[in-house]
Amino acid sequence: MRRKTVPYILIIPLLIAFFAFIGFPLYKVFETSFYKASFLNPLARQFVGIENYKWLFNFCYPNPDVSYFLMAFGRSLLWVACSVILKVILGLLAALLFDSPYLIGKKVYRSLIIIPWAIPWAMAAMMWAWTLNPEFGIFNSILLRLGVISSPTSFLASPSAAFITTFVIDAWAGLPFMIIMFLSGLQSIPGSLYEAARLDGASEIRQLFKITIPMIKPVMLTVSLLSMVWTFNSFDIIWVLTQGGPLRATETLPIAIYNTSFRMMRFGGIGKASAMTIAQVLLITLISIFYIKTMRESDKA
Amino acid sequence: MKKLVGVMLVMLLFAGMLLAAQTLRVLMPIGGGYTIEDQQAIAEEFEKDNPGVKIEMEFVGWDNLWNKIITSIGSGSAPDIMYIGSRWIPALADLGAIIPLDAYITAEKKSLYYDTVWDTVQYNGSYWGVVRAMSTKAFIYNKDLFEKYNVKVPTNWDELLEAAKKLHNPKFGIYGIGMSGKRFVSTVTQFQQYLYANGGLIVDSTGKAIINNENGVQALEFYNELANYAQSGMLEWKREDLIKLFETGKLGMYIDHVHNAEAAREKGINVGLFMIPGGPLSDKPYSTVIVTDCISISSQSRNVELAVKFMNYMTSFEKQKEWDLKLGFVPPMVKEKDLPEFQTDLWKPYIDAIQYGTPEAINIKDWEGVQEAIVDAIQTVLLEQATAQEALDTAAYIINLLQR
Amino acid sequence: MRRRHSRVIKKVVYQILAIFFVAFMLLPIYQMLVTALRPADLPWQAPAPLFPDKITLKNFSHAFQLVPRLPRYLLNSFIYGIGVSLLSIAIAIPSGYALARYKFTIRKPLMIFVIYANMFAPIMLLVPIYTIMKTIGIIDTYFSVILAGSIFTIPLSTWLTVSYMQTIPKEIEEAGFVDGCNQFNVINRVVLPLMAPALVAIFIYSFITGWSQQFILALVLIKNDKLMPIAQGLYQFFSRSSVRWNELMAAILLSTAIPIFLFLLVQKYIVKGLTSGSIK
Repeated sequence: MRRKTVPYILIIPLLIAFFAFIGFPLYKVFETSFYKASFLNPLARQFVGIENYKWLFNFCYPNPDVSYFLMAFGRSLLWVACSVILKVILGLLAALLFDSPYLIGKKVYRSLIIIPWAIPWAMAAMMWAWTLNPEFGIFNSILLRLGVISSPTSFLASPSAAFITTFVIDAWAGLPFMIIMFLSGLQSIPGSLYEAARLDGASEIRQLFKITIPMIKPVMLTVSLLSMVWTFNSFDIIWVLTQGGPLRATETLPIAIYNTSFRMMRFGGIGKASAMTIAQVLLITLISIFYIKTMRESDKA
Repeated sequence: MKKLVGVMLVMLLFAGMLLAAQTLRVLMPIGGGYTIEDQQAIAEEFEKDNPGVKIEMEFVGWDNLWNKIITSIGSGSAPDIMYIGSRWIPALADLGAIIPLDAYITAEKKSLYYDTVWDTVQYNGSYWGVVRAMSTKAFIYNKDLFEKYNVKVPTNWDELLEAAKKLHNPKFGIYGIGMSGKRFVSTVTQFQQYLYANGGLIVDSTGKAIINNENGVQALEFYNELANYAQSGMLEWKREDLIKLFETGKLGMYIDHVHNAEAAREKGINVGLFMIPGGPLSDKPYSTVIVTDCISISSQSRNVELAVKFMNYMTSFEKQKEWDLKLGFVPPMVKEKDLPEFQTDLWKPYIDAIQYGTPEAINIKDWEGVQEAIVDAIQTVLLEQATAQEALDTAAYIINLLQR
Repeated sequence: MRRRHSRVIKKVVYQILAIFFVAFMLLPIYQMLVTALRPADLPWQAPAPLFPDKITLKNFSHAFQLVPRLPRYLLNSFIYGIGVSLLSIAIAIPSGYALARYKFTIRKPLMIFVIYANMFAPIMLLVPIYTIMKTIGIIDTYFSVILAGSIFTIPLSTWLTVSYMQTIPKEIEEAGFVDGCNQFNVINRVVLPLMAPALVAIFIYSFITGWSQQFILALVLIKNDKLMPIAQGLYQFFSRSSVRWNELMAAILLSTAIPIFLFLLVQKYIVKGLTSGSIK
């Protein structure tokens, strides 16, 4: 077999998979975004050109001053930013902690903290809803006994509390992956660098800032980009906990798309939902490009 | 030779048609007490009584039933029989997804059920389903707590409010009344109890939204008032969660189904029941919302005769009685109330309330959308971001758009 | 003397921090455990007890009584897990190898697309995927869900393969060629064993995804209840008006125990595998 053709043969399955199951469906979604159609009868659709894209900005609901899509998108941006920042910071700190020579039983801890990863998100969210319940949840119980709060408090009942609680739980779900990535990044930093620094008399904090952080930057940037992209699609957690409420405080873009397809029979429809999806894809692409560019810049620096 | 082939083809075609005529596809829900085993058993019994017939049952969780129905309709693969919530009838009927059943409902069959039960499956002058499960609601209360705080069973709204106030003692961890505030269907249905109890309706007989009339506004204001005596963090509770709180003995009273009353009693609570009192603007002393699920036949079915047969089989008096007792549903057939099993103190308020009942969602075309609008209104008022009138005006505006 | 003190203090502080962190990560699991072990006929307690007051294993067996098909659903989830991981490996390894070792025209754009493809989630492409599966005619089969699920694990799996391959020196393969192996022999005998950690990482990642996250795909692509994954079974604990919490928690514990157990078995390989050192 000639060496030149080998790579092409090897990648055939990948190409088929991508083309058939990502490329083509994506194209279909793109195509649907130019039609008005309902899930009830997707074949009976009308061509409406860019109407659906105009709708993204014109349709103001429930607030008559702001577009439904933009509100959802704005919420997504904020929510995703909070979750990802939390994941990165906590992930890094945890990785440092679990890599530290001062900690006994590192292996045990590492095995334990990875457990949440194996749990499906929808179930994990259900468990958290239970745990945070004002009456039956262990969390309230602990806080009450410690005297931190005087009466059962709810974490999901007010719009702002719900917003914070949902992204914290989303961060919780994504932490195991983050920690593994950071741990592996930390472990690939050659020990000789630290040796040299110690011989030079550098304190541990200095070592942290001069060696660890710069060496881990590439991993950090890659992993946070991946996390951002994944978190944007986060649906199960919010849906189970609040269904987008209270009062739409947690209605991020995936939730809004779902509502548009399946809930808003009159106002919505799969054409509009497709437009929203394409808009989301475009926006994430732009953000990713911007992100990668920044990463390249800082690499050069 | 050609003739032989021709004859064989015709025979094959015929055989194919016969075979097709013998299979019935049925879509059923699971969860909520509906089990695969129970429903499969009925199918098997029918198959035994009707040799040559095969029933293919497909099961979906309640949460996904609506989606499953509309996707299968959209893809042209709808089953013959679909178990649906009656609230979906206007949407499905408008789509042409189900067929009217007037031709198949004999006068005798009709007389078996309460009139209000038939009202729940009526739309545009026809009946679109045969009721299979019905529920009404009443107040479940904790007799010990009532005694402790010297509370009488309320018979009108003023007394209801008084009772909630007296029972509410959060310092001792006791809450007056259990209420639902989460962004979920059951919040809307809980509020609906108060709405209908006060003589209000979501839409009038022409389909126009009237939820913001004085009956509705007063009902929402009352709901908000009662919320002061409800469990903490009301906006994260849905009705389905309240039973747990009631079972701990920390809740004075709340509205729920009969089998939760039973469950609480088994857990040792001294359970009492009373019918939901009518509101100040209502002309009825009591009220309840009648929710039904029914069996419908899809317009894509090619076995309508067989489907009707199976439908009647499932809803015969005997089978219906079995079903209701097993699953704890309120009996939709009039004669059932005379059966000894339904004569207990637990069943009584639920059955007595039927005469004061209002069907859930007649004339509403987009129930999901309407629910969204109503739950928005409820949460807005609970979070004190608008008055009841303003919130309901917005809801009415949206509902009217949806009804177009 | 001072250094020793500060060392001890550090050890203590770190230990405390670690315990708190683990507590945060495992809190809901603890709650779940307590609920699953509590007899279902006991009335609820509020506020929740911090430690289980009564323990029983009955909820586990009762869960199987309430949902007789539970073992079937568990088996199905297992099939989906294995299926997705095997398929992912089968596609990711050759592709990753090609992308890492060869220079060919579409290499760069393909590499970018592999990374880019991570952004797609099933919920976005559900409807067209259903149509394609229908056209191929595999609706209502295990394979449709396995295939659809793999689509979303292949991007990361391929990326990991590429990264890991880049840490293996080419010389080892060159040696293989010199010894007379052809291309595919080299991959089999030389490369794959070296790639064990990455293989394990991909396996576990895809397995867990296939096991747990497939519900929405199964919902759309499957009609036969006998093929449904574990999430369908869990549904049946949700009554219309009340939930059998204790048994539900027991069932959830069971359904997460298996992937967790598998995970713990191979976890040291995972860190190695994801290391790759050149996710840069």
